[in-house]
Amino acid sequence: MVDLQKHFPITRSLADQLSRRPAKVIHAVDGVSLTVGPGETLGLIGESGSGKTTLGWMLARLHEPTSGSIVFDGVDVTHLRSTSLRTWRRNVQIVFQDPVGSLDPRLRVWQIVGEPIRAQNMADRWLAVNGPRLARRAHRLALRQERERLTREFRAAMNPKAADRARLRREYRAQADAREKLPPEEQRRLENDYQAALQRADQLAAPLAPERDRLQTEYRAAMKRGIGPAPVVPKRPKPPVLHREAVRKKVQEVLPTVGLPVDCLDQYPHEFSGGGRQRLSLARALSVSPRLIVLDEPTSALDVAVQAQILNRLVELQRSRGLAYVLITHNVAAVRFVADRVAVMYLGRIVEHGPVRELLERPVHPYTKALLAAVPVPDPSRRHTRYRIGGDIPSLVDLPPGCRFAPRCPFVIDRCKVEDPPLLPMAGTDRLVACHRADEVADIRPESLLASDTPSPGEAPAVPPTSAA
Amino acid sequence: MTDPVIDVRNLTITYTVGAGTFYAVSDVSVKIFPRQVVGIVGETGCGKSTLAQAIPRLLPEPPATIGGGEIIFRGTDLVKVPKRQLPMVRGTGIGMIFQEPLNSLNPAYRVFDQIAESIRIRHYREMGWVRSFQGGEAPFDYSKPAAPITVGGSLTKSIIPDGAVEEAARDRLRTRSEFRDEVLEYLRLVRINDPETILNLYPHELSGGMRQRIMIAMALSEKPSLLIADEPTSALDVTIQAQVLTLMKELIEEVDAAILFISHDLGVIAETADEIGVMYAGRIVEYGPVADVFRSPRHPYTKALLKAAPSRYKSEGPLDSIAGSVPNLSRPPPGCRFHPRCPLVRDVCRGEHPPLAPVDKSADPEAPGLHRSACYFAEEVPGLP
Repeated sequence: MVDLQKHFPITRSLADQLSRRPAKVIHAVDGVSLTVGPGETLGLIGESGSGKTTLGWMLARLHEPTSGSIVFDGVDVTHLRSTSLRTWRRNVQIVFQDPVGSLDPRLRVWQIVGEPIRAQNMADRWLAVNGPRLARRAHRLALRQERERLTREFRAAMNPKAADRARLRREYRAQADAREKLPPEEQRRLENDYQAALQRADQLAAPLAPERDRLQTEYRAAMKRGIGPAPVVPKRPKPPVLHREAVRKKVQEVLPTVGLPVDCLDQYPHEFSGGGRQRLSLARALSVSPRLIVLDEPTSALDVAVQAQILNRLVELQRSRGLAYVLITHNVAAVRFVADRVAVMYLGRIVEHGPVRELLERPVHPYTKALLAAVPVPDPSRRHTRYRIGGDIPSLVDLPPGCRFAPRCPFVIDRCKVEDPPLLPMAGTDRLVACHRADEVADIRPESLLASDTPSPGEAPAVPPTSAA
Repeated sequence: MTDPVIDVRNLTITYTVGAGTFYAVSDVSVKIFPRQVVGIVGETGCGKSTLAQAIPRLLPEPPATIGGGEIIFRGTDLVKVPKRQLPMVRGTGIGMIFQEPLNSLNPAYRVFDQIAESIRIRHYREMGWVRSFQGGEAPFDYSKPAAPITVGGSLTKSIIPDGAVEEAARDRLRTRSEFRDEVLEYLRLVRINDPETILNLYPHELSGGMRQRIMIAMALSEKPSLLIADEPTSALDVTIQAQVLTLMKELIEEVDAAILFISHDLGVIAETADEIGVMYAGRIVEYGPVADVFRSPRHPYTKALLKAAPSRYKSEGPLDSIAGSVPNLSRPPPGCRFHPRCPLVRDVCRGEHPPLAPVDKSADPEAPGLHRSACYFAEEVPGLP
């Protein structure tokens, strides 16, 4: 069973590593939580710069999350390193957007598709020898963390005053940036609250002697107990090296599953058409029988007819193998066909999340509506329309306070500009929506964001902005 | 009846690469009248970009060769114009908007200089300072200074009043600041907020949608009679694409130019074009008013293409795709090029390529605005599943 959870409650930053200025950070993905079950497809849609690709790369552990965790099959894989990361990669594979750039032009088909097979083989061989050592090290590390935790708790229990003061100080400092943006009177109020809380902390009394003795005995016992004995991992025999012929044989088995002929083993990627190259990428991902495939814009470089072939193939494979997909794309049509659930991303946040049919037919969040209304429809009778949502995406470095879509939103009210709406379940639906006015705007059709051919400039949106308290 | 701005007749273009010859465009005819928008739609490799670049003769020759046909632009066959005169057609005569705005803008130029350059070129050409392309049969004499352009046979649209040349002498020293107002005017035309700030930015500082608007402003500032937009929105996000398309639709009404709009996206073409041509393997297989073609396609390929756009959910069965693959253009199949993939194929299809004939047999075959299909069995297409 694949049970995947990802949490990025705080900020993910790419820029601070480059610029070494912690003050400026690109909030590429900011507090996103998702799950994907086996045999299920999660669609991630959003404009470029919404963080959907960063999220996909984090899932495949090509980016290290700044914070948060990725749980795969009940195991936290967020901080896997070296060979344990490499062996884990057989579970999650990725198909990249650019089928030309992601295939080495100097390698032949069997080398490209066989590369993950060989890499996994090498990792297996290494692990067979070094497994026991790794297990001992992991145990040592866990023991140390457990003991540190015990000590922290023991000290806090012995001296609640200092522990509480330290906690308050930590929290107050963490909010420093947010406080600066508030009006001065609000800042003063928070400062006073902080001082009062500190004084309350001073009132906390240390435990009395019998209690202290009990705590100390418990602490010593727990330290001694630790986390039990180290697991015994026997040394396994090294699996044999997969040589050329063995790899070619395995590749030959994979190729028909994506609809490529088996006799193309010795061809180069440039000999394939766009669709053929995308099939090759897919074959490479499938070669190690993963359980989750991250599809990063798998069809955006392809024509409609070829796109239909690839999408059909993806669905077929999912049915026959129980694969889970994370489909990252801005192509709403592809998401409609492949996904079971959809998450709409805007500026690093999920703004709406729900079952595919429900979400596409009755979008709630204004951004989802705008996105769906903007998709050109091959129907000339719908052409006399004017697109109403203007503006460009704000910078990910200096994010506006409040809702991130507020500067472009036609339904914006004052509250949206100061208070960031949380992603909350919507009553009566399987939907999560991050909008203050979700209930009011839910019934507005996306088409109503397109004005008719007789435009009246500055025309009021369907819900007057004043109607909300 | 006005004359068409551009009249492409039976154009054939081949690429010679190594030992092989690729028939990229075969026997294509397109006529565009003033203020008309013609869309060309087709898959990758069907020759639509080759066609777009062949019209202002931007194709590198070799490897490309114009094998036959005529490109009649305002009365002159561009195929016969000598290479050194071709730059005169481009910009003021035929403007281009390319797919990748970042690759088509000069990264070392500020927005102001990008647009001012176009305006300066047009200005000089109007004044007759720079040798401007002259249509008609008159050969161009490079040994003499260029004469001011006369109205008859001229490709530039402005009419030069008497004494304009003398007056233009003062304009030789026109300074940057004097171009500024005109540049700002074009930036406002393409709906750029705060154009004074944008003027001083470099292309990399702009978003994709902004860059594409700068490209459009550059193309429009030369006041071309024909604007060729080659996938102008393919590199943009859907919401930005919607903005740029809305802008283009508004500009079509404001600017007096004919537009050739190339795209692989049926939705984009449906929103912009008056007439569309569907290309397959280098040939136009169907041509007609946009509403007719979308509502009742009369070529099996158009029908299949319209059906292939994914519009259903996973639970509703697989998507319709077109069986087989696009033919190799170095060895195009004999007869109708779609026949190996066609559900209606019969023996006659393997013989000769069907002509692009009006669907309505009783109509005058020369009349413009007819729905035409290159299929022997066009009447049977509506009955296809």
